[in-house]
Amino acid sequence: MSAGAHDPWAVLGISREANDEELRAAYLRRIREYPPDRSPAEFERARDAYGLLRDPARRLELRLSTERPDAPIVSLLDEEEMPRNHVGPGPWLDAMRKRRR
Amino acid sequence: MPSEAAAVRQLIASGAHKRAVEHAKELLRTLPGAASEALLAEAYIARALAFEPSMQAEARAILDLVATRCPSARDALAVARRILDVRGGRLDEIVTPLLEEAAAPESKQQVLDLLRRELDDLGALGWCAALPAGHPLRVEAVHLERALAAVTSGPVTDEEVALAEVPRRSALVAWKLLVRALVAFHRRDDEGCTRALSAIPPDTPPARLVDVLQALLRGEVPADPAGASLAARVAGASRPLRETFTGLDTALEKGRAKDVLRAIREAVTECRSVRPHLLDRLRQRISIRCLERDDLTPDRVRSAMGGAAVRDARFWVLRARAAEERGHAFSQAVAYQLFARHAEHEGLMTHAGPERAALLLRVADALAGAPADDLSDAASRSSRLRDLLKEEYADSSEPLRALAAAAAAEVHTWLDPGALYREAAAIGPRREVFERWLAFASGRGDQRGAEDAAQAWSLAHPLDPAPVLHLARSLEKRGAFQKALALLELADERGVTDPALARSRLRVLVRVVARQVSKGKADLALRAVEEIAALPLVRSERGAAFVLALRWVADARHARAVQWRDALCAAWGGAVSADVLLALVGAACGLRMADPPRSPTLADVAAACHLGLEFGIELSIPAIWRTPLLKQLRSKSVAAGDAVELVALARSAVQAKERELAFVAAGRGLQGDDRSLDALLLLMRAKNLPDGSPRRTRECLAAAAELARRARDTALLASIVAADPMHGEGGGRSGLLSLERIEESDLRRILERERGDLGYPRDREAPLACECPACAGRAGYGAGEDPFDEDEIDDLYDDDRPLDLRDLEDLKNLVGLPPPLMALFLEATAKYGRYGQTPTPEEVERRDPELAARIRKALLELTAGPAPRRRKRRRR
Repeated sequence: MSAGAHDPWAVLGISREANDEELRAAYLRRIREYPPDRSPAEFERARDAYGLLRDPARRLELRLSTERPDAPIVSLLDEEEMPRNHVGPGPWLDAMRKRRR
Repeated sequence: MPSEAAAVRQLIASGAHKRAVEHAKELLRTLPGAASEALLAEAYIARALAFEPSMQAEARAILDLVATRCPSARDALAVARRILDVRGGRLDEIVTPLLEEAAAPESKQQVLDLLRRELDDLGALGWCAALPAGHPLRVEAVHLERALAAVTSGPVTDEEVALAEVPRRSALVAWKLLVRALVAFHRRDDEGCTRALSAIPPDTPPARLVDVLQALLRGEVPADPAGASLAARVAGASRPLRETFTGLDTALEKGRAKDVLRAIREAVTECRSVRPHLLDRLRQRISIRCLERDDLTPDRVRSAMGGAAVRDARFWVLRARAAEERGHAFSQAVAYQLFARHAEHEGLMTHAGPERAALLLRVADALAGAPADDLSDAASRSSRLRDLLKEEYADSSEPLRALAAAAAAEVHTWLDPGALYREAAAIGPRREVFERWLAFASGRGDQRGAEDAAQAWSLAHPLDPAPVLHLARSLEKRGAFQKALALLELADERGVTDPALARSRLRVLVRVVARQVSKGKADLALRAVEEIAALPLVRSERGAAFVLALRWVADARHARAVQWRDALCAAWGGAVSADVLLALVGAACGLRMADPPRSPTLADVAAACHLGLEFGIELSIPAIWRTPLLKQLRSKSVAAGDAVELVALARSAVQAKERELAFVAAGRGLQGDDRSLDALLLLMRAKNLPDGSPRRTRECLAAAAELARRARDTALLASIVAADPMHGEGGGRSGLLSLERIEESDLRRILERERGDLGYPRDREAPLACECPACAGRAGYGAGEDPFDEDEIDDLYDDDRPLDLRDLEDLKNLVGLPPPLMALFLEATAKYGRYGQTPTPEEVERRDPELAARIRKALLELTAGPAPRRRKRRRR
């Protein structure tokens, strides 16, 4: 499950520690890559992400609200991307054989 | 027989092979015959083929048994044996027809179909000695095996898994599709993976992994043990982990302390084994959730977790948010301070950055809502906080201990809203920040603090008139008129333009006139009047009349006063009207008229009050005018003037503390045609009702608020809310919308009533039918202060204490306190309250431990949920 779609930092391709200059540069890069006439949806996402992050109060609110203190413990499992480990062919073939009907 | 056969086949299809065999045996016994025999053979074969890969010998034994008992099933048994051969990797005989040129195409196809459906060991085919090394099937199997190993062992290039050797019609094409699906899976190309999976033929061995991969894509755990085990290896996904986390959530919500601690231990153990990278976050979440539980001390929780939660920016923001949601301003402030420190340490925020400014504002606003006593009290606990923080970080690394020490050293500034606003303004000198700072200081009655805020604001925004106005008003209040004038002069030179500044200057100059008159310094008074006369604000007929009145005041002890009076008579509609104006303006300047009018007309008084208000002077109506004015206000035959003048009259009455006069004047104003002042007039009615009319007061305020909302007059709305007896320090934490919305019909009713009533209520309102706090609150009786203050700082750190009186913080907003609890509060107040003040929790504990224990018990009973069922012990 990817959180990138709703993460403005991920939309602009920058880290959460990026400063204002880096933010602006990333935004300009993004809208040059996705101009409104060719990629309107991506352009809008980039513009909305920049709008959120350039306002310090909204950026702070975003940073403070990524996790709810009263969220169920089980939501920890829902929030992160499950790893996709390389475990070799053995476990896959083992499961295949055990799952014969 | 057909239905019984169908039932047996149904059991076979659902995997209940043992039962299928039992049923088939029973059927053969009851209905012997070839069909039953064939059915039994079918059941046995299905059972044999369902055995684990490691039970090949047992499977063959069953087939041999079937061969002896059911000779007619010879063909089916042959097929079954071939299947077992393929599964067991014994392919030499199986593949022989592929090498025989004379073999019929059907038999070659049968071999290919068998391999397609049953081969799950590519190596067996790749190294099958019965086939030549270059045989296409061997080549395909070898490449597929190699590609499968590569794609499941690490990242691969497209060339490595191109598998051009495996054509589309190959018997092994399902494996090629599986390789493609796995490539996409590991590259997180979920769409590509789904596409490849959907193309895998369902009757092939790779198809057995389709639902497992689909579950992994959804982030779920397959239900069967083999699938779940694979998911645990590949994705760290674990059904037990999800279940233990869910169990922990349930325990935290409803369980007793020991249940919670047990669930914590289980969750931590499982998490450590399956998702070790989540352990820190799990501990943080548990730590925060356990704050809601007073029966769990930090030590017990730490012990159950097998270690303390990591203190970092994420931890402290959770802690701050938890305190924020509970309305604990001080805990929130401390937690945010620590969050800020950690965020800077972790590179998430810069020290003087705009996010820090936003955070400072957030904390300042929360603290600004706390009662002043709590603020000063909290500041004195900062030294205790330093010790507590030291303890909390005792196990942390040196840099973090230093960070905590630095935070503790300045925690007192984080509990001071003024200091926070100041710092926020220094980082980001936005107008909004200064406004909030000034509003806070003014609201606390901190004149110096407010002046500091206004000065900083003016420095940052030299052309903004608001801070200048505030400073001028503040200086005026202090009687520093010359300083106020100098400030206004400077602002004017700087180019700050605003009509309010001009009015402020006029007002101060009038105060100067009054002061000089009171000191008997006519010349200086006149000089001030000349300055007033030069102001653009008074360059109108009305302004000229006002100046004439002031000249008369300045020259009151001089013969020149007569000429000013004469000029005013000409300008102001006659001697009677002029005398009324002079009497009021003179009184405002501390000058008593020798022979004031005894029964002035309502119109003259209203006009004079309006003139005074227009030029910034609140005139005060003399007590001797009360009776004649009231008579005229209540008489329909007497013209009252317009609503604006009546508002001015009402304000002048308020200035003179003539509540009845103000009340009736406002009522008369409501009878006029101008609806735009109804909200203001209702407010004036509300503010001037006698004390025994709380219901009517609240109704007038609610109606005024509704009208102000409709007119979007936020300034008036703020005044209305401030007039609400339930608003303010120690009362409800209300914002601009604290007054209830009312229905249109009620609004009309209230307006009609107030318009039609020019009397003045003398009697107290009748008692309520129901006096419970909810009904009393709605009726406008004050909620009163909560008898037991919450000690938030102790609540943050003093987790060892038993449930106590301070926990009432969570209850004080409950409407309808249960009678037993209310009775205990009243008992405590009656016994130990002083001068109407309720006793503090400490006092009750000290003076009457028995009463304190009874209150604690009542609280516990109120807050505890239903007791969980006890588990019955099993008798062995």
